[in-house]
Amino acid sequence: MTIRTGLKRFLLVDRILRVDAGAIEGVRAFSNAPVFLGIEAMAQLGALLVRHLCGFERHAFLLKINQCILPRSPTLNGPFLLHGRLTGRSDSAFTCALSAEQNGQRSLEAECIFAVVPYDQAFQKEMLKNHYQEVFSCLKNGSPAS
Amino acid sequence: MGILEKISGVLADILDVEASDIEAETYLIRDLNVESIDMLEIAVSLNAAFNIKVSENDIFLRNLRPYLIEAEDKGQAQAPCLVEKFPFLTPDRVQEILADLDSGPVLKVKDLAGFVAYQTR
Repeated sequence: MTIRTGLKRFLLVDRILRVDAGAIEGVRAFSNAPVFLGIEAMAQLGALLVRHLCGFERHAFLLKINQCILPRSPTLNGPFLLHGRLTGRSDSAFTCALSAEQNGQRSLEAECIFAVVPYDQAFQKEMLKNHYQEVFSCLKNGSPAS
Repeated sequence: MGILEKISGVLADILDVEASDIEAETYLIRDLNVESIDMLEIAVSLNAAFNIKVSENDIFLRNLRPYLIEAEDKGQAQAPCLVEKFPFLTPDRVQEILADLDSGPVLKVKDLAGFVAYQTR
């Protein structure tokens, strides 16, 4: 099956500017992008924080989006600063407050819940751990990530 | 605000029910139809609300029945085994649980409150 997203790639974070135990900051430049891609970019940034906090030892996936605030404009253009802040965690789940801002104005906000599970047959450690570690490292170092 | 009241608020928000309908004796799965996906959200919300470490296995009594089987296999009494595995449950509550096992999932709101109280003691 071929899924055509209309995107050159599905990674919607251009760079990670800062990450620590409870927060992450990144950037993404959009060009006439529908708003849902902004939500996806924030979710991807949150998932990167979660994977980082788990030492890339577990698979993370988006479980739920709470309290999503959308911009008035139907499309996103230009660079956006993406913020993620850890607001809760348990053994198997993490909550992040995420936002995207442009020129100091907050355009999108969402609270996302991520679940983490051990790697298994469906989510294979050999492939996913290395892949996400490499993506994270490239985004942090400013080198191209696929 | 007391622990139980705060937990009721968390559950009401997540499950979209009235907080006033949630009591200490309310069963999470039998009465509130809590599903595994809700449990993850409840766990992170309790972590945020009370600033406590939350293990889903402990707070939701996930391994309760395997622990009982294990105790039986080893010829041990079940109640002390549960008290040891879930130290936030009182001996009285453990007896209640053992008497209630055949009726379905035993987890009640007061067990979450017991976990939170134990973690914040």
